[in-house]
Amino acid sequence: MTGRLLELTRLSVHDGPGIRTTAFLKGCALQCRWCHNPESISPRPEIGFVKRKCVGCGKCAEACPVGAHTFDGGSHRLNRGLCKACGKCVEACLPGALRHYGSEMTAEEVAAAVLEDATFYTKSGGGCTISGGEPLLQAPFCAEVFGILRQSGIHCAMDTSGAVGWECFETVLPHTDLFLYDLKHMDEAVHRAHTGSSNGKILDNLKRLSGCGVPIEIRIPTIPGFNADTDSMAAIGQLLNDLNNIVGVRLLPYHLARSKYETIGRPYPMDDVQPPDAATIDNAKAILQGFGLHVT
Amino acid sequence: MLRPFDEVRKQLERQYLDVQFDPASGLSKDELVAELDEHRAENPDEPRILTRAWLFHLLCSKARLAVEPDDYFADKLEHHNLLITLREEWRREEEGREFKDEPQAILGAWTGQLDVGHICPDWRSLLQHGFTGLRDRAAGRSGDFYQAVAMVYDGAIILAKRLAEAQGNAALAALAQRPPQTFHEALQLAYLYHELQEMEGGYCVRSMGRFDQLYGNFYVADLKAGRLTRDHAKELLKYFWVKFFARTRGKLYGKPFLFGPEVNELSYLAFEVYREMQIVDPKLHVRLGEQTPQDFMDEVAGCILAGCTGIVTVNDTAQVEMLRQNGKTLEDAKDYILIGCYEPAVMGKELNCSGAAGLNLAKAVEIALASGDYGSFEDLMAAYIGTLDAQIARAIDRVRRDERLWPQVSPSPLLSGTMDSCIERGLDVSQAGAKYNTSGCCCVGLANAADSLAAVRQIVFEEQRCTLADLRAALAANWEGYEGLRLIAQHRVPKWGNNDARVDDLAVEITNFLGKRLNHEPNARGGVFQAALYGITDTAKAFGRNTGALPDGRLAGQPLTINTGATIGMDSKGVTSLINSVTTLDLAQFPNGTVLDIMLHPSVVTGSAGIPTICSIIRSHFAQGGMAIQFNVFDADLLREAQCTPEKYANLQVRVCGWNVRFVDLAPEEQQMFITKAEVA
Repeated sequence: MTGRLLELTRLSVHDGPGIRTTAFLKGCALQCRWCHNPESISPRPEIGFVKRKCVGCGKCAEACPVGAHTFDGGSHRLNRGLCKACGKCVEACLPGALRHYGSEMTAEEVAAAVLEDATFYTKSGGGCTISGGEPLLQAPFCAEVFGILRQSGIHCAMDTSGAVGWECFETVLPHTDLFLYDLKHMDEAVHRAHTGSSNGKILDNLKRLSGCGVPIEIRIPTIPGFNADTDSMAAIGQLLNDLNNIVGVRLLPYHLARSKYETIGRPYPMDDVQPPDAATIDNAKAILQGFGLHVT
Repeated sequence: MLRPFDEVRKQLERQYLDVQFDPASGLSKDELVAELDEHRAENPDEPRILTRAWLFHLLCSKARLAVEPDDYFADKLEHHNLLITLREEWRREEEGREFKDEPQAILGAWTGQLDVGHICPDWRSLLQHGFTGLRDRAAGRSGDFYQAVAMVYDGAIILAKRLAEAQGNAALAALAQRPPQTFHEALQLAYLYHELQEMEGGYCVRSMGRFDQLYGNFYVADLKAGRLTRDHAKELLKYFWVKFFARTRGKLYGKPFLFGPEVNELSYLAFEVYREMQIVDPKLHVRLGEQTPQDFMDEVAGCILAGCTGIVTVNDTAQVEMLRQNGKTLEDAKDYILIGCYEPAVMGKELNCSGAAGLNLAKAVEIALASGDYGSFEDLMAAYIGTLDAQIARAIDRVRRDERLWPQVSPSPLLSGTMDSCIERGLDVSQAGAKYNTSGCCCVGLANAADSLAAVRQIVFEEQRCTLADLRAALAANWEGYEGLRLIAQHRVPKWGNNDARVDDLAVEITNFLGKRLNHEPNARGGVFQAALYGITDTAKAFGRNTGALPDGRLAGQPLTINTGATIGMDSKGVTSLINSVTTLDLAQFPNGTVLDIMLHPSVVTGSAGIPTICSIIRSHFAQGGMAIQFNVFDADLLREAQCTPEKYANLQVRVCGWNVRFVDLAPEEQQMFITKAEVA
């Protein structure tokens, strides 16, 4: 079976315990305003363009079968309406200004790439994490990758937004050692306004998952003006307080991601928001710790 | 107690910059030289070892002193480098005769020399016997060698007395009578010996020995007897270590102190001191073995994370096994130190002359490509190996001939006097008196060579994007007018350091050849040559200057890649793949040393996961057969440099919340955010 990948990141130390390799899959069910990986949202392949690296050689235009690349007074333009993301331009672009997001890989290929670093997982208590995008949109693929890896004793973690049908969880549950579960906001309307979707499925799945005996680390993107305030954090803490198998909570402070939006030709939606200061993070931490949670 | 170290640190760091020697304390340079000339005129047939010993004794007893009332240690003697001047006079004379009709070698292909600059005395013997004991065990035995040893140690004792009186230093006064009994006395003895050894040999002491093993007992005994507190010991160590910085001011190679694999209270104290000092020199080498406790490894990792980049960790189990395979007894193999940068040698028993020969692995690609037309890649590879073989033959021939001159160039009674085997055999180290007499050959530019050969294989023979003649023309033009081809060579060919068999297999083939060809090849001192796979920046620059453009896209004259790593910016798959590549090599074929450089962004190792991450990287590297590893954790200055020259930092990772990105892919304002963070940290 094949999956659509964005990237494999090695020496990953923030996506679960130890040293890990994280496979980022393409395609997401949510449209979070603050998304750091905008190229992971669409399930279709895309071409990224890094303007700084373009030398204006025109090789992309020569290689493109549909005329999507043009040069306007020496300045490169990519007509994304025409682009089929076939990747021919990327192969032709020697300075590396163009890149292809969303290559197809088989589960065996992904597992083999992950297993290259097996020694590092053994020595660090690490393993493999599948993230996204929303990896559970490709749940059978994830299950196959994990199935292969677990034959070699590799620890497998699933990083999910939870915004999928429960059957996706059922598919991967037998092969997953740890869930990294994103929570954004407890208020349905606020959640919908900032992510484009209700939090109903997310909360239902989390409650159900917490009864399955697999450890869960909660991850909260912490964003001023959205959920970094006392009330929002307290509401999350209240929920987690009632659940089982929550092994910890990790706050992920919002960072700028403008360059990635430019790369895929989209406007940056968060110009009005600044990263949280230390006091905001400390406050959020203290509130969650008040519910007896282990917060990092 | 003297003033707290922190109050006098600045002054101590400058202690060798403008030393005020007391004119009343001894003779001027002219007077010393006049005495030497007179002695040589009166004794025209004197064996050189005795002339050197006589001069050594003269300097110790009559050269001027400087005193430093604010120092626990005394060591300043105005010797005017006269022993080195004399050695160089003899070297010119001997080498001039030997190499008079030597044909010109290909510039930059290899080096060969008499390496008298990589030594480690038998520190254990020095501390056990003291100056007095080492004098006494030679005195009264007949022969020039014993006479010379007794003479230099007699000089050392006289100097100890003079300095003790001038500075009111009780430790030195005691050392003029007997071996050291306290931590302070042991450090004083070691430092004065170090200074005298440098007086005899130039910048030659390249290991200060197994520090915790040598000095731990002195420290613990002092603590138990109530002679010393832990805090005072830290002060002593700071006053001691700062001398090594004061000597180099961070501009020379630095002197290594070795720790582990067994540890004691002093091991921990030393790392605490090192971390507090944040000092460029000395540098600390750490043997990490199964017996090394985890909390000590954490201490080492914490020190690295605190920015102490002068730490090298070595795989103890593998190093001991490698030394066993290369002719050392188990007992000796276990007592190795690292000479200079990374070169293992048995402490006090081996003269490993680790810098005797050098081999430019990249230049051989240039020579092979220029020497013929090749119908297949296999033909080219055979020619490349043949070129290496020929260059090695010339380098080792040069070293052998130089080594035969050694007894007439640089007899070293001070060094020899510490070594049991020299005393037993009655032979100076220059006459192969040491138990083990090995000669190193440093192979430099593996990444350039492997990448270049991989590029030719793919571009010319597999894809036929151009002919060998086209490629040769491109290289001759230093890639000018061939920019498209150069981009392909740089970006469409697999590169060493990415765990890619298409190039790693070439590196394996090259290194297997080097190991077989070099190791066990006899030198002229009754020992063998030993291959090394590292190249310090100076060598990489010097070889690079004389190497033309290469098929990997490198321009003519650029420095070669240092050590065993990837060419800068080419290890785009990151640290784990780099380690996987390097450990495909059989590194035990390089008994003269190897090292891998790891560059990490602080975001990978911030917070509580930092120390475990460093430890895991080290353990994973060692588990796969890695020998030695050193880290850089980038700070703000380096990030700024990365901002200006992104092509050199393509593999630098940063964490943007839930994502690792390459630093160079960030927009300037995001880069600035990380720079600001680094400044705050």
